[in-house]
Amino acid sequence: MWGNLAWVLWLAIAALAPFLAGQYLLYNIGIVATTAAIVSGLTFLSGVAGLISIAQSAFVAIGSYGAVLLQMHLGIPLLIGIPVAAAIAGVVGWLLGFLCLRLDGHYLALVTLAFMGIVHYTIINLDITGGAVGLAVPSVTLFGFTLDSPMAIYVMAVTASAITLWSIDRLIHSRYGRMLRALRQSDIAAVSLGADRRSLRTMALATSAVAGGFAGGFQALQLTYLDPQQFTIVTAVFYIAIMVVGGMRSVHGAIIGAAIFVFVPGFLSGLEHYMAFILFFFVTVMIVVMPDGLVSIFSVGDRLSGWMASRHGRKNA
Amino acid sequence: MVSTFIQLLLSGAIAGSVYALLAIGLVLIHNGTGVVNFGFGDQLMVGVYILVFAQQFLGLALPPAILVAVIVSGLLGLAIQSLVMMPLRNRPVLIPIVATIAIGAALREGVRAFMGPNPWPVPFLLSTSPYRIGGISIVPSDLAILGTAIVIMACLYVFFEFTRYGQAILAACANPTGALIVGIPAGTTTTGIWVLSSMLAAIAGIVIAPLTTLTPDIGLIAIKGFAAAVLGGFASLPGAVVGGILLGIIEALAGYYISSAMKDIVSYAILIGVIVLLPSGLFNRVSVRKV
Amino acid sequence: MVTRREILKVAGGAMVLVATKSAYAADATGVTDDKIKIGILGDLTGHAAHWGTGNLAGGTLAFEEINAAGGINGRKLEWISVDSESSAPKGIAGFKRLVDQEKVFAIFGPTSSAVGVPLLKTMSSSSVPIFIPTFSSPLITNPPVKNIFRSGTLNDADQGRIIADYVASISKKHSVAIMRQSDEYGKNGATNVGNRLKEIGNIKISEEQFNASDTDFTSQLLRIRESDADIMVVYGYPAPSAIVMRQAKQLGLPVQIVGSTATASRTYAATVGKEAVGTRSMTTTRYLPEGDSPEIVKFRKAFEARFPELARQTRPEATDQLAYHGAKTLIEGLRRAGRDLNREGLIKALEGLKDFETGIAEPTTFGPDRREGNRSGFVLEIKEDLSRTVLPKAYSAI
Repeated sequence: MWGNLAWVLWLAIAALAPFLAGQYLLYNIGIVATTAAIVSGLTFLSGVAGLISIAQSAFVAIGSYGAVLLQMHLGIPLLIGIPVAAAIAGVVGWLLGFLCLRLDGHYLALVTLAFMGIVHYTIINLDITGGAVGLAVPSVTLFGFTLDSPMAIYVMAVTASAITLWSIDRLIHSRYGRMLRALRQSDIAAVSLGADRRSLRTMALATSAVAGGFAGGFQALQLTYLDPQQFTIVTAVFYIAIMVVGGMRSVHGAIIGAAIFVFVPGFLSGLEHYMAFILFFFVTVMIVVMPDGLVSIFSVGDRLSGWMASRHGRKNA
Repeated sequence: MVSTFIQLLLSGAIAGSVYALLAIGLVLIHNGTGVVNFGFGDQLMVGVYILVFAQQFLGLALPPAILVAVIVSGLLGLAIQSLVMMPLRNRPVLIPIVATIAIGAALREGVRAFMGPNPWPVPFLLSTSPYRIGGISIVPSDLAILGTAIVIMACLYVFFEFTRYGQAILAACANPTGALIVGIPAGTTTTGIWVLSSMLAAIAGIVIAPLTTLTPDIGLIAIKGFAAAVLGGFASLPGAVVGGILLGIIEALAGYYISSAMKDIVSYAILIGVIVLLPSGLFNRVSVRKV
Repeated sequence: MVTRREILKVAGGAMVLVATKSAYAADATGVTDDKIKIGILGDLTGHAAHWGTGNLAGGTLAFEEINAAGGINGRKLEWISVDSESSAPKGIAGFKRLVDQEKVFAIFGPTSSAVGVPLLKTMSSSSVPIFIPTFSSPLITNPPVKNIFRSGTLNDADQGRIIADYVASISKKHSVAIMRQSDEYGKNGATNVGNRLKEIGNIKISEEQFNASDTDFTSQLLRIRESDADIMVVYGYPAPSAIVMRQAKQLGLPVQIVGSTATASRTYAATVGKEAVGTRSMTTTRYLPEGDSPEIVKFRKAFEARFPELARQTRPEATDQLAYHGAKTLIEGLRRAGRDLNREGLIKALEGLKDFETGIAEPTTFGPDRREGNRSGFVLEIKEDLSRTVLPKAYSAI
C-alpha cells in the first residue's frame, strides 16, 4: 500500500517541480532522480540478490563515456547512444558475473573493487576518453532542435530515471526477484529447489550494469562533463551508502537515500567545513538506529500490527 | 644491475610492509568478527593525529604522546564496537560494512575540519639517513616499518597460538555457540578484537605517517591493505604479512621493469587473478559453508 | 519554473543572442542601493578543502576590511559561501544555487580544477562575472571567456613553461627528468614543461609517472638515477612529492630537484624532513606568507587575529594569501566600475587593470583579450634550517 502511495508521491514531485521549483531546486531533483536510478541497479544486485558490488560507478562510466564517444566518433545521436552504451555495460556486467561465479562476500567485493580500479585507470590513461582531463558532454539534438535547456535536460533525465526505477521495481517483484531472494538466503537450498545459480547471478550483475549505464548516461547530460574523478571507488562506495541509508530492499530506498545525500549537505551548509563530518556522523547514527534504511519507517506500521497480533497469540501472514 | 634488483626488492618490501600493517588489522577484525572494517585506514589516520595533538597542543614528549595515541585509539575502537557494530551484528553483512565506511568518512572529515586540510609534519622515530652498502641504500626509518610489521605479526601469532586468551578468542570466532557453552561471553571477544586492532592501527600509523606525510586522507592507503589481505587469503596473520610484502615487491618490480604507469594495473590484475584462480588466496584452507 | 527567457531560447537563436547580450549590459542583479552580493564557491570539505578554505578565509578577510573602511562607492559587500565539496556535480549545483537562487552579483571561486573545469561550460554560458584566485587549469582562461577572470596564481601552462626556462638555464648536462603525477595536474604540467624544453632545444627529456596515493617511488627514481639527468622536476601534490624528494636524496640521485607550486607551502619542507635542504620550488609570487614585507606582515597579523583556529594550523598559507590578493583585486574592479554598478561595468573595469599591486601577490594585468592576471613566477629554495627564501629573479611566461 505504501509502495503505491510512494510512486504517486514521486510522480507528483517530478511533474510539479518544473512549475513550482526554481532552477536550482529543479536541477537537484533531477540529480536525485538519476542518482536513484543508478543506485536502483545496485539495490537489485545487492539488496535483493545479496551480491556485494563496488563496481557500480564502472558501469555508469561505460554508459556515460560510451554514449559520448559513440556520438563524437560515430555520429550516433546521444538518445540512441545511451541505450546502446547501457547494453554494452550490461554485457560487461554479464562477463564480470561469469568471472565471479564462485565468489562470495568480500571476495566478490574485492574483485568488483579491482574491476572498478581498472576501469578508472583505463579512462585516465586513454587519449580517446580525454584522459585525466575528461570530456565535455555534447548537447542532445532531436529533429534539428538542440535540447540543452535546463528544462529539456530535466525532462529527459527524469523520464529515463522513471523508466529505470519502474523496471527495477517490477523485476524485484517478479519471479526473477523471488528466485534471487531465495538465492540470497541460501544458495544451496535454492539450487536444490531448481534455481539456476549461474544464470541468475550473471543476469543480476548484467541488470545492475544496464541500470547504471542507462541512468548514468542521462546523468552525464545533467553534469555536462565527464570527469574521471566521478568514476572512482569512492563514488562506487557512495552509491552503496545511499542504498543502505535509504533502504536496501526497495527502489524507494534508493530514491530516499539519493534525496538525503543530495539535499542534506545543503541544509547543513551553515556548519561550513564541519558539514561533511556532521553528515557522516548522522549517516552512522541512522544506520545503527534504522539498519533497514529510512524506508523502514513505513513498514513500522505493519510490523507494529504484526507484533501486536503475535502477542495475542495470532500470527500475521 | 644486481644492486638495482636488490634495491627494488628492499624498497618493495618496505612499501609492502606498509600494506602488511594494514592487512594485519583488517584480517584481525575480519577473522575475529566477520566484518571487513573499511574505516581501518581512517582509524590509523586518527591515531597519528592524536599523537600530533598530544605533542603540539598538550605539550607531551614523544613517548607519552605515543602512549596516549594508542590508548585513545583503543578507546575509539571500543566505542565503535559497542555503539555501532554490536547493535548491527545480526544484520546482513553489507550493513555493518557500510557503517564502517560511514565511520571512516566521519573521522576523516572531522579531522579535516578540526586539524585543517593541510599536511602536518610528523617526527620520524628513527633516522632517515641511509646506510650505503654495495650501492644499496638502507634507511633506518624505513626498516622500522618492516620491523614493526614483523614484530606485530609475531606477537599476535604467539598470542593466538600459545596463550589461553588467544585460543579462547579463536574458538569463540569459529564457534560462538560452543564458546558460550563453555563460558566465554559472546561480546567480549569481539570487543577485545576491536580494541586490539584499533591500537594496532595507531601503532601502524605512527610508523607509516612520517613516511607518507600526514593528511586527513592517508586512510585511503587501506585499499592496498585489502589487496594484501586477499593475496594472503584473509585467513591468517602471517599470510597477510607475506601478502603485503609480496604485493609491494611485485609493484616495485613491475614499476621498474615494465613501466610506472602499469604499477597499479598490475596490482589490480594480480588481485583479480588470485581471487578467481585461487579464491582462498595463497595460503589457505577452504572452509565449508553450511546451509 | 519555465521563464520567458527559456521560451525565447527555444524559439530562435538570433533572438536569444539579442536577449542575452542586452541582459548582460544593464544587468545589476545582486546590487541594491547599499549592498553588493557576492557568492563564494569553494571546496570547504573533501580532498581539495585546502584551497576552498583558503578562498573563504582570504576572501572574508578582505571583504570585512573593505566594509569596515566604508564599503565601495557607498555600498557594503555581503557574501554567501557555498561548499562545492570537492565534487563536480556539487560544484554545478552550488553554482546554480548562487546564481539562480541567491542571485549574486559576482562569484568568487571555484577553487579546484576538479570543479572548475567541468563547470566551464555552465560558467561561460552565464553572464555572472567570475573571479578565480586559486586553481590553475589553463582551460579556464585560454581561450579567454568574457566573464571569467583569474589573478594571483600561475596557470599550469605558464608554470610549465617557466619551470622549463628555469631548469634549462641551470642544467649543465642538458638532461632533465620529469617525475609527474598520473592525473590531469601532473600530465598537463609535464606536457607543458616538455614542450617548452623541446622549443628551447638540445635538452634530453625523460619522464616517469606516479599516483598521488603511492608511497614508494624507488622504481621510478632508480630509472632516473640511471639516466644522466642532473635536474628532476617533480610535478605532483604535496604528499607524494615529499616522499619523492626524500627518497631521491636517500637513493643518492645526483639531481637538483625543482618542484611545482604545490610544493611551495609553508609546512612542506618540514614534511619532507632534512632531505628538503637545497630543493627548489616554483612559486607564484615573490612574497612569502611568513615573510617580512610590510603589506604581508599586516595581512598575516590580521589573518591570525581573525582566524585563530587557522593560525594554529600554521596559516596563512599561499592559498589564503592568493585569495586575499584576489579579493582585493576584485574589490578594486568593483570600485573602478563606479556607483552605477552593473555586470558589464565590472567586466570593463577589470579589463582596465594594468599592473595593479596589492603587495600580497604579483600585480594583476587584464585586457580586452586577457583574463589571466599573473603570468610570472619565482623560484624558492629551502635553506639549511628548513626555512625558505625566494630567489630574486622573476620568470615570465610571456
